[in-house]
Amino acid sequence: MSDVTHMLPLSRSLLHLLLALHEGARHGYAVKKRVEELSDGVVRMGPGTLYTTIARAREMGLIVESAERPPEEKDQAQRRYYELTSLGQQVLRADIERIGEFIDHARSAISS
Amino acid sequence: MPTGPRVRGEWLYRLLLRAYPAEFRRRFGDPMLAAFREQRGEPEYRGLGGSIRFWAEILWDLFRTQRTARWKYRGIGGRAGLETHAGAGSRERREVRMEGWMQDIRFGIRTLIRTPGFTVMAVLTLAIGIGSNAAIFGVVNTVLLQPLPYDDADEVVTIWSSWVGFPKTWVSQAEYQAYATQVSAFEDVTMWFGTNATFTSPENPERVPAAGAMANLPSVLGIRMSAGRWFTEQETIDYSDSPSEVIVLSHEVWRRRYGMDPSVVGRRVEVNGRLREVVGVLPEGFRLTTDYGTPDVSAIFFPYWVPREMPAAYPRGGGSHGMYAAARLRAGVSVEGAKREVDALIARLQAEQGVYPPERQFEALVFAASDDVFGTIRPALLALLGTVAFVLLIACANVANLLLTRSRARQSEMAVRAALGAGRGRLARQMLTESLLLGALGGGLGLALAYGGIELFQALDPGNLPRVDAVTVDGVVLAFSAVVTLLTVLLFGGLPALRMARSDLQRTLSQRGEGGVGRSGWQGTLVAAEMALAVVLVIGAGLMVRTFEKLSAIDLGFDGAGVVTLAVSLPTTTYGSAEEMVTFHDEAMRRMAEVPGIQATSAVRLLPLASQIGDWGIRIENYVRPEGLPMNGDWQFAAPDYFEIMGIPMVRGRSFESMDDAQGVGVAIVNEAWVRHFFPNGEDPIGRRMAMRTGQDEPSWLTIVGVAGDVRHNGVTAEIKRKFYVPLAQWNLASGNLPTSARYVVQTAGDPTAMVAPLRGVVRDLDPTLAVAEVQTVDDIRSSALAQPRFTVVLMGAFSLVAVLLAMIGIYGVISYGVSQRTREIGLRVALGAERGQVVGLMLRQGLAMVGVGLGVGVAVALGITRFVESLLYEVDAQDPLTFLGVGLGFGFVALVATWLPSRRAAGVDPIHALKAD
Repeated sequence: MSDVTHMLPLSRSLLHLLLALHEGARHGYAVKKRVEELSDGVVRMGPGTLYTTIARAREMGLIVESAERPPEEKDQAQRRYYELTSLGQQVLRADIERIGEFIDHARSAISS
Repeated sequence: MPTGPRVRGEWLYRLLLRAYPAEFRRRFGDPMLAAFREQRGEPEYRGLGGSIRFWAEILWDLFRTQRTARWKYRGIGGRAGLETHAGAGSRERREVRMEGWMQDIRFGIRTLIRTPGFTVMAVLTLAIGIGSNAAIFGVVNTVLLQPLPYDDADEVVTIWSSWVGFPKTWVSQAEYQAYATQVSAFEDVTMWFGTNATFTSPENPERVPAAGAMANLPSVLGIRMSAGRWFTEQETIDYSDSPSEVIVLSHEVWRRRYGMDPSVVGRRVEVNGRLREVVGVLPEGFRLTTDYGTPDVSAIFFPYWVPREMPAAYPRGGGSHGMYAAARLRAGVSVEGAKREVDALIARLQAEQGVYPPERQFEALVFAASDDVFGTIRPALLALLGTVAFVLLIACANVANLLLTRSRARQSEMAVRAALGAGRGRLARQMLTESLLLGALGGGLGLALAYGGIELFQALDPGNLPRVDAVTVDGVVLAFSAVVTLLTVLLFGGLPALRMARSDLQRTLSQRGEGGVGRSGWQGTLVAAEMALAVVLVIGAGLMVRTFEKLSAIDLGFDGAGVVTLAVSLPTTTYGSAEEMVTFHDEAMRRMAEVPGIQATSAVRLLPLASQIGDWGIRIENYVRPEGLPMNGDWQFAAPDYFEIMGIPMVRGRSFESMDDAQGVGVAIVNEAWVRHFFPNGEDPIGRRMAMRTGQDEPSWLTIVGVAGDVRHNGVTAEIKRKFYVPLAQWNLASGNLPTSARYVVQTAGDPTAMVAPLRGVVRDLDPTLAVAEVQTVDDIRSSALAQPRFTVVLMGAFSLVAVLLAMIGIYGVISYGVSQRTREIGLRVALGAERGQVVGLMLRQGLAMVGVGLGVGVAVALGITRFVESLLYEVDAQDPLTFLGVGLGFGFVALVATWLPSRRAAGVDPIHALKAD
């Protein structure tokens, strides 16, 4: 396992993007929908936010375009699917860990 | 390129995508567009509110991310200098241009924020100009430009009659028959008449305007029923024999009284004391041509029938005139063509049968329905549209001036930037972008003003503005405002940008401070131009004020302060005889008089200024009729005290008294016009006898007991007609008709409107099925008669005040700028011994030259164009010298003050200080 801490913390949209792709490959708009679902509509992803985030994640090596696609969508040739790389998996976990630790600290800080 | 159906606004998003760097766009442009489409299709963005939210989110998203993308993909900061992009390839260059725009916009916003005073001034000025145009255009668009709610409305014409004393009046049955059978230009002709009807249900009695109309009304006007059907020919025939019991309702009354319940069709409702079956509902927004420009829109329609055949013997004078008529033109026939054919027909009837007495000068009128409906209001609205266009031009001139002034102040800044490599075109574009931003802000605020303005307009409603309640800021108004805003930007922003592109910036840099002012050449021209425009507007408004003054000064012949009136109509089903009706009216008046706060009550058939009176043929005992003298007069009935309550003077004799009842001797009162008509040589009419039932050998003679003052009845400026009054109690005796409907006139001691409720209560106590209608004070009647001129004068006055204010701001600004720019020169002059007065005079002269030119040009233009508002004027010449002189002097004085105030500052220049400053 390489050290990924220099990539943290992830921006909010990046974190949500990785979280959505963690469940499997998705195309762009499906990511947007899933993110909005996961965040109860708090994180809004317009086309610009969506694709600048995707561009950034690709550049950082967190996601790649996926050759794989669900059988029911095989005909939608122009759609591009994205999936997490193993680095992406790692970074996602690390950031969630970091958030968890932060929350633990924060809890104990305000309860004492 | 993504496939799939295009969605609305996609083109805009494609355009906006250019804000992203090319490389990013190449990779993600298509998926982004696809995402845009999918997001557009989400249910949460449906409807207007959804669309607004959608675009707000998309724009925010774009604004937030395009910089990130650029940062990532270009490796240079978004704030990179304006001047670094020369010499790129063509694709790159396009890229740079797009980015340049974004920079221009950001830079422009910062500039505008840095000079808040200038920005607020310019935006407000533009908002006033654009807003007033959007509002007035909105009104014109709804009121004048939308077709009437008929199919192929341009084929519909209205037909009227006209003769001496009656410039536009009803059509007779015989005329209808002639038009319907003899005029090939008409595909079909229909008629209707106006009346009133009462929903006589005890829980909710209501009196409403109504109409009787023929079976072919829908086909002639071109309408389709909302529910149910129209009358069949047979139903209209049956109705003329013995009233059949079918009615049609207006959409409005269907909604208001029945909540648009479809089961109303086929139901029987009680109207005028009898159950009648509702067979249909007219379409929403339908109005008869005669129902425009009046608050009284027919709500109930009764069947009406006349035979179509040409009468064997055409009645003399055409017969009784009392119907409205409309026709549908055959395809390809013009209104003028139809009018020619009708004229030929009348001429033929005249030649063959001599039916119309020549001295009456009978003429049939044919109008395009839209001209008929909108003809009276059109000149006023177009004058207003012209006025606001002038205001906008003045606003443009003012903002252009502000920009010019500021561009001079910024010349050093521009020169520095030019020295750093920015091309002149680039700098001019920067200025144009700022103008666009100002325009957008002004346009946005202007639209908000337009919303408010339209509401104000509706509140000021002169009462005869058709469809004014339907005016809104809709897509057309938005589009209009957008175009106006763009044109405005070109007008006010073009000149400064052009100057920038041409000016010699290097020289500016080498002579900083002097600023190459060029003695305000352009600015002076602009100020003179806006002065001229303002002068034209003020003269226009001045003519309206003079007209209003003349109209207000007209003696209406009655006073009626503190008098409230209410109308009641007695159905013949419950009140079968004249006696019963008179008893009811007497009892109602007696009880009203007992209400605390009521001083006196009376009743009359028709109130002055509130409705037209028809004429009635009469006979005068032992009267030798001069050749060709029409024997008729307008007819009224009135109860005792009517003349006293209304403040109509009795010129001679007495007014009606309580003894003038059904048992008393028949009496009448005539007006002064009647006396002038029948007894022009000063004979005494008092004691003479006249009769209404001219056909009888021994009619019920009415002894003339008094001469009442003339009253303006048919309109403030309409000719006063000869008129006679008969006592209410003797009406049946005199005419054979029933006094079914009457207007009670009630003299109150305090606030007349406070008495309405108890007065209504009196009627309700007497008969709960009766509806009380037309509740108004005589003051209301008087004021609504002048509503249209008041409306014109208030709006034109307000707009010209705005124009003057803007023009004065313009001249003030230019002079004070001139003073500040010439501080050095002034300082030098003062140092060399010039008197303070001379220095002020120097500045004043410069200003007065502009004022003089503006005033001169303005007066000349006004002389040329005021004739366009001639139809709005009353007894005022379109070139009224008093108005022109007054405006010239007043305007000159105000302009002098606006020039003098900043000029004074020149005197305060301290020479040492001024010379040291450099």
